[in-house]
Amino acid sequence: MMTNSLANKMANKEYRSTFAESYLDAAIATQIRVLRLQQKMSQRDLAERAEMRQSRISAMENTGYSKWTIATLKRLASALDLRLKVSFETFGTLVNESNFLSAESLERTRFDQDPVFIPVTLVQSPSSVRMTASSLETNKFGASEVAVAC
Amino acid sequence: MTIFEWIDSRGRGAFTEWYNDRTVRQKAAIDAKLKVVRQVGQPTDGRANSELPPNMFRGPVKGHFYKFTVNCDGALRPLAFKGPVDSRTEWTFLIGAAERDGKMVPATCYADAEIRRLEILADISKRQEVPNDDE
Repeated sequence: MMTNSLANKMANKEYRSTFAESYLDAAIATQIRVLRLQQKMSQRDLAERAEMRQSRISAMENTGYSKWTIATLKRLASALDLRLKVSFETFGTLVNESNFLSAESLERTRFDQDPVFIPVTLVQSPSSVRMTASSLETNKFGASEVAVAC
Repeated sequence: MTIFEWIDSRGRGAFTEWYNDRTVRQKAAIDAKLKVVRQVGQPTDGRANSELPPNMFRGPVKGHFYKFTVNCDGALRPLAFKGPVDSRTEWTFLIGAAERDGKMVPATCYADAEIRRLEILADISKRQEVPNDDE
């Protein structure tokens, strides 16, 4: 149960709507920078991959930027070799999400480093055991289980 | 990142007093930005454009000052400086301000901020932590 004053302030619709909007702008700008730095790219590098001007990347890496479009975000996702996820959420999840926000929590693994898609070869004597993406199953809790066939 | 503010002789925080005079929408926008600063605030790691969150504090201007940039029914620009105890983990607000037609309001904000900055440097008890909604 939340007892802090943020929860009290959220009772006001005008407050929670503006908070969510402002938080979203800051979080997107921050994640673009975190992902760019994680992939060791300059703003110019990202701009080239997204076929945008560097000045536009600079403008979007600004917590005050608010003119986001889905089309632009999809281009950035593609340039970063990631997917874009957009969903409608409750305000309760915003409180929890913001409490766990950190630079690390915004990092994402590129496709070529995504463990779901990396074939793993295990060498066992005398025969080798090969695990592939197709051998990875997801259980009901969303955790991956490894199925090994000899 | 920890956020502090200059306090007057009666113990009133400059940022808190300014915040309390803002509209509901402005308070929400300020709270959201402060939340992100507290959670992911990191100084630059040496690479260009690496400070987090990006461009939340613009500066330095006039030597030591950074404008905390919140655009909500106006250009809110309270002034802060890094540190002073640890410039990597602290911001200290000195005065509430806004920007209109490219000019800072109040016009004396930089001069007043410098006086307050020097007061804090001389006596660290002239600041307090800005109240955090999560605590």
